[in-house]
Amino acid sequence: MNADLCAFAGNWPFRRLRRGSLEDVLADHAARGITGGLMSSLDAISYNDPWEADGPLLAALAGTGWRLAMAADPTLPRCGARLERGVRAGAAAVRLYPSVHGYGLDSPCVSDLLRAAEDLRLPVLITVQLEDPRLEYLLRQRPVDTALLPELAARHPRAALVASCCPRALLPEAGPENLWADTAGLGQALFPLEDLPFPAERLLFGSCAPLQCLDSALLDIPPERREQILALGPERFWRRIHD
Amino acid sequence: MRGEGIIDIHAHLWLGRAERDAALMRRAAERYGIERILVSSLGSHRPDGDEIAALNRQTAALTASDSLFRGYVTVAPELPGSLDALRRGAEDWGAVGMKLWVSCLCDEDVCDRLYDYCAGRGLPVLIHAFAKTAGQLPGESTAENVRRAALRHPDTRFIMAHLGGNCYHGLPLVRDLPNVWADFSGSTRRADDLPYALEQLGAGRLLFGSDMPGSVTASLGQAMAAPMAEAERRAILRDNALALFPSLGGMA
Repeated sequence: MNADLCAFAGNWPFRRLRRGSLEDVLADHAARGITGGLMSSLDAISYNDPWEADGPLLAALAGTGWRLAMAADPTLPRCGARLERGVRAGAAAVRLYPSVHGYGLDSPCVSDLLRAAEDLRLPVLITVQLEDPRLEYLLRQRPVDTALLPELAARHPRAALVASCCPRALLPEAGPENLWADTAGLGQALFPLEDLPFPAERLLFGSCAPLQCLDSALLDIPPERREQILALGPERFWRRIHD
Repeated sequence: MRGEGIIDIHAHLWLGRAERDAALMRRAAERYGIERILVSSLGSHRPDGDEIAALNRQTAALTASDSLFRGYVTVAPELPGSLDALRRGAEDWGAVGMKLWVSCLCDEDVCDRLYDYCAGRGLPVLIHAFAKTAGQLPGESTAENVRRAALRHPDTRFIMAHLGGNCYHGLPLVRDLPNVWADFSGSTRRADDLPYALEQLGAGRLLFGSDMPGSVTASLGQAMAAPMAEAERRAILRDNALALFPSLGGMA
């Protein structure tokens, strides 16, 4: 199954998304042969209780090949309990937004969350950049120090960390085997997957759709690497977590 | 693919890296079906006359040696001799348009005689325009500057690059100006900018540009995905460029 590990649905408060509803996102992916992956709620990013948006999205994903990557802000109280609740309900991953929620990856609350995620066997997607910083409106994204990711992954060896929506220039060094990256955000140069300082076998397809153009993300994947990045990579990712 | 391919009206050669950039663009042309690439050379933010001459020499050299490429002459209007540089580009080595360098706003008085020359020879003027939240460069035009220039020079044809940077800021400002086209080149790969541009300007005033050696897929993906008739897609990817650049007419 071809999978997109970085898809979203919902409303983005800062500009109109024409194909942002879950139905549109699923249909657009299916039309391009992508029938599963991890879906996150755009609404949950700005909700004080993200589950208010994540719960309905989880319910709507039932019966599809898609799983919920729930939102978490580790600066909120009882974050570990929130993760537990999400996993019990069926969330398959947790997505962090340090650039939006305003904390550093070296914050103790991140370590606390990673410990909880290790215990829950919950992959952690670390969203580096959602919008081009030149075009932000109201939201000002805080830079994320991605150089800390290899060290974080080494300190939490039972966690699976994914550098997500990460511009190519910010992609961390390869790091340990439990550090992955998705392709969303890499495509700012010609042939963006060539000469990457990151192991090809730990690259997963991500589109950042519908904030970003799904077709652009797909065009970045050379035909000869399509199966590896869209199908085999995600399978290996899930096997590593659940075996 | 040669013959009916895409025309990319916005790509670059960095000073001193022309061969490397050209090699990348040749590969991209092969992979994505691009028939012609219009390039200009880029250097420092505040170039002197010698640097401008070097930029244009490398553009001229590439366009003379490889028919995949045609060139804009890069002009910094505030420099003495800018009109001569423009003339040399147009008359000596066949530049197809003028690329206005970001060392000066596009509605400053020093640009006027350049625009008059371009109008007389039918040379479109490519203007980098970007309304940034942070990091706006001195001399970096926005759509407001493009609007003022276009109103003052109704016989000159302007291309506002990058949809003005922030399309919601830029496109309404040029919507009523028939002598302004827009390209959607750039590293922005938002899924909704081109549909918005189609509503604002219509397919007839939109041009495909990549900003190579930056990403070509950012623009190409949007052109593939945006909802429009196939004839409109073809217009944006090719036919509008043929109409706007008379010297490409032999390709039709």
